[in-house]
Amino acid sequence: MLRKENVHFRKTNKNTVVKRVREVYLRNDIPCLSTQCPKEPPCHEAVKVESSLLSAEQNDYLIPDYSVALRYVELLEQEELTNIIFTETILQRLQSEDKSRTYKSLRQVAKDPRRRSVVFSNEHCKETNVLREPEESIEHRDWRALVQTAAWYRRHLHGSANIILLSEEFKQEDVLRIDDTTGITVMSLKEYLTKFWPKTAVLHELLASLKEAILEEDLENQTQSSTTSKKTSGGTGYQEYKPLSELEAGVKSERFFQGVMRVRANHRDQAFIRGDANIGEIVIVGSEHRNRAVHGDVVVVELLSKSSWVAPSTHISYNPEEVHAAAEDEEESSSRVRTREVKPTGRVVGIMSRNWQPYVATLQEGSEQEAGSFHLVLPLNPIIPKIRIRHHDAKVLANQRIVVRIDSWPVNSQYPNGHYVRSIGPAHDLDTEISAILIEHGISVSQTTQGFSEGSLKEMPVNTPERPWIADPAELSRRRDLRNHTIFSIDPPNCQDIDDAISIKEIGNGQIEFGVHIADVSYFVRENSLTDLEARARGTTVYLSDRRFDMLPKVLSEQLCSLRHHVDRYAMSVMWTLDSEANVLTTWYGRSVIRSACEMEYEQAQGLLNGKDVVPGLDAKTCKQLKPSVVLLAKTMRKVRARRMAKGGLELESSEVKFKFKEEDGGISDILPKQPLEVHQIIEEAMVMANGYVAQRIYQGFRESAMLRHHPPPIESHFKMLLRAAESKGFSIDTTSNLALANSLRECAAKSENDIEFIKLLKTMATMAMSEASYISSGSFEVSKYAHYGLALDFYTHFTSPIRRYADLVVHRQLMSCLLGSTPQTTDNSSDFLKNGLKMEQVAGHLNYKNRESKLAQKDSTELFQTLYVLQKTRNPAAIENGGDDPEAEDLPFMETGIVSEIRENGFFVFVPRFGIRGPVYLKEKSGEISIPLSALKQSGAAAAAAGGNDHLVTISGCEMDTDLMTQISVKVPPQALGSHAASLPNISTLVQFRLFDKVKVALRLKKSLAHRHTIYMTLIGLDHQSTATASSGTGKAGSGRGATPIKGHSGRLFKKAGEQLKQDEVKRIAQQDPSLAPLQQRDLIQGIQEGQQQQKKGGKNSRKQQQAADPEEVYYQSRPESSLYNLIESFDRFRIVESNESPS
Amino acid sequence: MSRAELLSPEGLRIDGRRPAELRKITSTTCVLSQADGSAYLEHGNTKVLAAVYGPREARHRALVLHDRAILNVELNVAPFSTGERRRRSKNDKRLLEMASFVKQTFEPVVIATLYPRSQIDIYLQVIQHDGGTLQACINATTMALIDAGIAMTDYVCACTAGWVEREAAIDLNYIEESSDTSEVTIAMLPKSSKITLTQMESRLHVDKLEEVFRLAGEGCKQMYEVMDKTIRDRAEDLARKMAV
Repeated sequence: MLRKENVHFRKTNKNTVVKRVREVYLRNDIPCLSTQCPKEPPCHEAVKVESSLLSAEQNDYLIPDYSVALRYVELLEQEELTNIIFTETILQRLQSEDKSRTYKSLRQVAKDPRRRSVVFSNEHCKETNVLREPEESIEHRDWRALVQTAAWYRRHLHGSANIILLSEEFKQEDVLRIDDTTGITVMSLKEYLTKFWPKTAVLHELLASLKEAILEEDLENQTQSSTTSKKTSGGTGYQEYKPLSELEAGVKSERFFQGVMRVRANHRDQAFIRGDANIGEIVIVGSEHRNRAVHGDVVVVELLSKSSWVAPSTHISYNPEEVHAAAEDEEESSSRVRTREVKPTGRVVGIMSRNWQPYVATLQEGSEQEAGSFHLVLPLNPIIPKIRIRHHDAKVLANQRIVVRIDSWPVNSQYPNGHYVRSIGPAHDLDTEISAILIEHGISVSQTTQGFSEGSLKEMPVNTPERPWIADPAELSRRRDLRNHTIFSIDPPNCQDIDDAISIKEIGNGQIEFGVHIADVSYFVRENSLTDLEARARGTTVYLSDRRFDMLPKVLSEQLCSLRHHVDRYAMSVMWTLDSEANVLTTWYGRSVIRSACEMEYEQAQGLLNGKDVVPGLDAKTCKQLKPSVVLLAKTMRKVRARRMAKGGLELESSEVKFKFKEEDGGISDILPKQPLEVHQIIEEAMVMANGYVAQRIYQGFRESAMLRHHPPPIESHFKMLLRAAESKGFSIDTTSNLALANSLRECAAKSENDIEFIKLLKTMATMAMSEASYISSGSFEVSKYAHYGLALDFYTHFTSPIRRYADLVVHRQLMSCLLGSTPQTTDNSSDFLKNGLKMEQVAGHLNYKNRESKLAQKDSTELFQTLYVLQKTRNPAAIENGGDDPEAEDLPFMETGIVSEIRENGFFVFVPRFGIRGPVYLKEKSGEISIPLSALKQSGAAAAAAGGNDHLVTISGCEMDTDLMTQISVKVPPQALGSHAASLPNISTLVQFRLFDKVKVALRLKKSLAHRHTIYMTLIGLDHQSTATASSGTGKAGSGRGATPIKGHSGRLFKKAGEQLKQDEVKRIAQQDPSLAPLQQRDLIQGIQEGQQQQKKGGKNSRKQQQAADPEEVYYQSRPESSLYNLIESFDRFRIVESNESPS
Repeated sequence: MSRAELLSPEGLRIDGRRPAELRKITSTTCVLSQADGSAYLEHGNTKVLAAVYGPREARHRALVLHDRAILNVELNVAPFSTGERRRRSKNDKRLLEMASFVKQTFEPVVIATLYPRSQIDIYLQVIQHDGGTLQACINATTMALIDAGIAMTDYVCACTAGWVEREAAIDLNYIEESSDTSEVTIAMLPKSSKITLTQMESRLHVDKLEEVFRLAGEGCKQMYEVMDKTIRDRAEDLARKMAV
């Protein structure tokens, strides 16, 4: 090693010049990190390094220079470019010039093994270190350093690789002057792309738009320098950020506060950061105070004087996009509904790090007509500000969804500057919207195209009709043979990726042998293989409402790993011996080979459980074979479940829906709320049991690095909404522990048995209060933090779905390595990974992020389809005939019964359980006018006369309104406002109250928007006070009796098969075709309600009895109103459930 | 200004060393003719001069111990030792503390009973400071004591180690020291692997302590090799001269 000293001079705070001396050691052992290294052994094996290696297949190594690295990072980030050598020279310079974002992106590229890119520490390598000569510019020195590195690589690899220096500043001549070298070419990015990627339009387009952005930036810099220091400018009201040293000092002395800024989804004007414990949340109001920070940035905030502190708004915002986002962000809903107390308010004085991502946006309407090349685009996500982009031909972009990146936000600009990346497709096109969702949630291109690299497909076993895959006899002998056991799987219909199967049988003296068998994915996917790396990057399979994006190649996920029936499959099994009370006596874990007897569907299993001997879809023999197993399974699992419930397991709820698609045109034919069956609970319980036991086992083996899943107890303040909601109904809820919470919820359910909606909503609120469950590495937390609050288990992990979750795959490997004991794994490297707590923590963090994003993507897609459905239902046939978008045509009314789920200042949110849709109802319009439809007044007066059909269209304005936040809102109608109506209706009430959990009739409407997604809102039709009893007698069926709206026809068809019902359906269909008949139905409805009022509770009971008689299966549904949707906490079901605790975030 | 990476993902520290590598060590003994023993030691850019006087008659009669010698350590840091000139008073508490560390380190090692009623003075001068002053002082003192021919049970070798970002590293330089790194200095008797001093002022997770200690111990062994070689070379040189 050679020792040398770097000397540089530096100015201190006191303005004295200080000489700084740094010692630097130059080494001989810096590895080239190429697979072609001619040394024996290759030089990267001589020293311990973890890095991806340059591949041998492609012979061109790229070395970008500083100008490229700084300004064309995005291009380097493109997955097409591989074999990039990042030199320490440029990385150091990026760091010293405070381009940490760029630096991180480059590091990310180097870290990704698929990119085959490396970092070469050329500044510490003896042969490539370059001294700065007197009078030499830094740029030139750095350039010489790169050339030196290139030359070194040529020499080191004996000229077997071509080195391409990418530079926008230097040319080929510059190399020759310094060093005599062959095989080193200097290219600009454009030359490079034309030579090597002539057909990849995306890259060329990106390059062009980046160039434009840079041009613009340069121009701006010039103008800025010419107009000298213009501090606060152009009336934007923004201020320069404070210098970093001041910010750091301020944060340390608690003068400033640092945190991630989040914009309130329901109020774009308001943002907040989480300060420390003393101060809590700090609100930032208005764009001036936000001072160019964008949602997600880490900002430093200075508090304003107390007199200018404000209270966060409790209005429902009127802007469609804002409302849309409001429903998304549940966590905030809990905080924003607090009483009107002022909150600490601040303003942004500096930004620690930006979190700019690619955003999906749409060109502002009309902007394409304007001259000039600057245009404003509206991001799809309304919490992101408008972005100014430069594009030469805006007409091409009109009405398209485009991907945009933010480049900078100068102090004198109202909006941030960005650039156009690429176009996804026309706005409101289904495929476009779905890819927009995927991009917004950072789901990688390789996953969305369903593609796998050739290399990883090569690793896959062959399974074609000509050469079917067969189990290896040698492997069979190593596994426990369970092929003679009766094993079956229970899944939703058409499930392709079956991860789990179950076996159960009695083995004498009251003991039961119970086994859970999970697909042995870890056998097929070797650690650190290409497929493994790809799967790790993807993290999870993403399920959207109508499609799915796999984590593993199809040959595994649908064929070899999927536990299909009548074929031999490898499995990881957990077998327990249970006594008659379902206490565990012994546990066995291990690899096995199984042969599933049957792929059952939930409905079929439930049929068997209900006592049927034969169920549709299965032959009699199989049924006979499986029925005792299913019954025994149910019996056993009920006991296990009861025991866990007694320990405090929660049963929570969320609104889950499934979409039924039309075969012909892909339209949505119906939305179905998820039907909870007992079988769901049973399977769930079996999986929870397996997960819990495996968690304990791997924790024994890996104290420091077991991949566990924990669910921290919720924060007490999040329960506020739940408590007040329950209070308004006269219940009290104890939230001190999970057991107390579970008990009080159960008590509520018992006391208000006939109000299923209320219980459902209450549970949903409890769900929202939950904190987020996440993966952890056991070494990073105390043992007491491992517990799972929702499931009431001390240890928990994910083990049962390795086909669609990477975490499970890690757990499988850890379990295997525990079982093998100290037997060395395939390579040292791999076992090292499982043991390394730090790495496990990183993986856990990554998987948590991926999971959250995929859940959010799923939620977005559900909302997208819900709006599409409403669009279908409200589209006026007349409008379609007139050629599509006829603005004159009035939308069809689409009425539903909903329940008031949240009260706000100017209206309330209504939840329609039938479709799982939640939307706002405004009582006060944007103009400040308070109005209420006449129909609402009438129904509140019990003796209202027979109603006319169009009352809901007549609105009474000029009312007064009074809100008690969270519990009730009342509207008072002054007599003069009634005007002419008062005469015709003598005994009309003048006061209408809306309380939380009231039933209301609403019409669903769609607020259309070009730039954003359409959003659903609702208008009030009337109250549904007294009909509570009738309405609650059956969840999905409540509407079918009344059938005022077209949709109910569907639900009727689904649940009622009686002939009379069919007749009614016919009537409804006519009503659907002829909208003028709809009011008639409305009148019927009101009469029905009046009857309901007379019969009151008794009537409710009667109707329920009748229904019980009608269909035995429905009895079952009703008898378990609170049936377990707590798999919300445990998202192991294959119904694509949003994990309850994750929905708030 | 983003904080520089102390340990790059490639496993190189800021000055190009790997975590378990010491800085370049240069040492000589017998640099001052006035002193009875002296040594000059460089750990990279940390440079220390040690001078030993004695055993000699004690300055103050009151301090004299009738059965053994007393140790007196004085430490001084030159104002020009760092980039910015900074004058330290002689009574700087940090310097006094460091001096007392050195004193305590050597009291059990020097066989003081051989020199009753006398005093051994150790003067330490830090000429250039670039991290790891204490370890350099102790190492220089050892060599100076040997040079003075004072009886000791063993060498005393000191080495620092710390937790740099995500790994244990030894012989921290000034940049690493000054960026909130937990640092441990240990002094070891290499033959018996006994530790006579451990000093740590910052917080360090207990799980990491073992690793840091192990590495520091290895560093001490390496130090021993270097120091021993210098001493032996010097002794051979002297022997050759005497033979002539």
